[in-house]
Amino acid sequence: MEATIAQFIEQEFRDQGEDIAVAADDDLVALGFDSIAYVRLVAFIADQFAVRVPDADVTVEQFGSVRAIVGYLEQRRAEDETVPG
Amino acid sequence: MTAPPHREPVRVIPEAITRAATAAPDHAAVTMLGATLSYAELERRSSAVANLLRSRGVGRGDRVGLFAHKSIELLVAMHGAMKAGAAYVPINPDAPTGYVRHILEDCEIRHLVSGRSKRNAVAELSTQVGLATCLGLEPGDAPVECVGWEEVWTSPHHDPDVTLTGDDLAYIIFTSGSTGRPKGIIHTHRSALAYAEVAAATFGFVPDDRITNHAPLNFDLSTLELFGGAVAGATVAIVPEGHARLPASFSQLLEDERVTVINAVPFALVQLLHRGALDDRDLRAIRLVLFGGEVYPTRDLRTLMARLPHARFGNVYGPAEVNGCTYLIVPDLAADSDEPISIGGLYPGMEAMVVDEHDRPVAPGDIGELLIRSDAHMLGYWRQPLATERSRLRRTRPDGGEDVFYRTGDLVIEQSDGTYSFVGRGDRQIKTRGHRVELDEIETAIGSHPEVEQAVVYAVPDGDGSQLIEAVVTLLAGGAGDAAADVDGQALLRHAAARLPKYAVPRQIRIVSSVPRTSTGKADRIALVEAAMRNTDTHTPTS
Repeated sequence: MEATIAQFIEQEFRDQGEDIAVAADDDLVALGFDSIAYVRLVAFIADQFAVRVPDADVTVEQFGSVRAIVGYLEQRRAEDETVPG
Repeated sequence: MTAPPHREPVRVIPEAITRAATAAPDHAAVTMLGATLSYAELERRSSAVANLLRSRGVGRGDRVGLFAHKSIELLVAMHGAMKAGAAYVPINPDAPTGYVRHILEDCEIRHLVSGRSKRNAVAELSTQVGLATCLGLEPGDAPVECVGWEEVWTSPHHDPDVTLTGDDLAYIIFTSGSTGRPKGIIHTHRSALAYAEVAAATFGFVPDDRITNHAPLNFDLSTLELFGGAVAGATVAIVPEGHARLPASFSQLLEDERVTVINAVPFALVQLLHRGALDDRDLRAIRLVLFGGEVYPTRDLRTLMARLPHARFGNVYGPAEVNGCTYLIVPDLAADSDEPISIGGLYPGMEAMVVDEHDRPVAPGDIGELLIRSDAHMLGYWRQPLATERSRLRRTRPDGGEDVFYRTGDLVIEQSDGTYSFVGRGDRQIKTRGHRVELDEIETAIGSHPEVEQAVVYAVPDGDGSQLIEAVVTLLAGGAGDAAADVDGQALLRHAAARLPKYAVPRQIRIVSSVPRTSTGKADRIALVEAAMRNTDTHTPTS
């Protein structure tokens, strides 16, 4: 999961002409990840991991780094498992 | 708008801070994510910065670079640089080092304010340009004298006692230049305050206001809250980059900081509307939403107005060269029309002319270029006297003196009620998500690649009122070996990204065998735009 997300982000940077290796704890905003790239990242995550990502969840705390995103997704999965349906 | 209490105008920006620190020392001058700096502390700390800079040789007319992500310290340093008598030069913290280097060299900047997230970039730059001191880095971060903030605050807190007048330089903001190099717009304390005072009065800024600083400091939109807020003794609520990019975090900040005035580009407000989780937020403290920089799609504006029924909305217009010149308090918008809103009418004390290509005034109702005469007019472009003169129209006054107008390059129509409608540009300058970009600068950047024969850059409407940048390129034929095989669109994107701020990098660069031409042999940019709109989905989904 971590590698998949990092690869997507690196590809986003490449699409903008930048070769950046993204580590799990890197601050994505400080690297220059912009709001449109974030919109695409959220759509990718929702599709790739079959999880609904409400707008209210896409925050600096939960989407600031690859590790934070993975933590958020794992928490979402745990919640889905405890809530039937 | 409500009339604010009467204030005497200040002559220079530091006086506004001193006045507020005297009147209400404990009142918040700046907040960021719960941290607060009072006016008394801002006064003391900006003096500490000024005294430190003075001890390193900074004086009147010097330039101090600001190259960092947003922070309270950055705003303190901005005020400190001006207090030392210097102009601050804000630099986009996400710009490639080649772009930053040009600004540092052009302004001969020896004193920089930065932050630890930029220490690698500063270290690289300090081997290329003659930097002496960098505030905000820790010793060892870069091979220059680094002075961390804790150390800065130990500098003397007394007023540095620099004699400044309204004619002294306050700041230099760099904008895209059509010659391929960004150019610096110089504002004095007088021209900066002329706008700050009229805007603060027009929009009724009071000490109890908490005004967002959403735009980066290198974007002239920020001067509205930074100086308009200061003359009113109001609080500036810094929106850090992450909160500016993630709408749910932006709306959380608006609620947490009980923001009363938003100032942002339309793109940020469209994002806020569609992804800002507004249902979850209490935003009743907002009394005014100001926006500027580009056209706000009427449909989205109307929807946001309905979501914030207690707030008024204001469109602020003006190129950075004249700060701001017209504004519109948005009236109720008809539900059945998406006609663009106007840019409103002039602030008091300004004059406009609308002229044809021979500088003759056109009849009201006809399209012409907007020219502005105002005390907020820049001093000029930094070390570009020819460009400065070309940007001006001089008119002889009846007394033999001379009026100086700024040529905005914006095409407008004056309406019968004295307001102006924005029609478009007469040149190759565009706005993309609020950023002002000269397409010629991008062509120059891509064209500097050794294997490029010609680069043609054009803007495609994105369907949300903004524009996206694309490029086609032809390669030099018959180079050594099969050189063309070595370069692809990706390599050219990297080349562009190393030279341009991110927002100016085309979203794609296509290599083509030939560029479509008009009958006169020029690159047919209209055909390229039409093809792009036909062939690709240019609409970035916003919901």
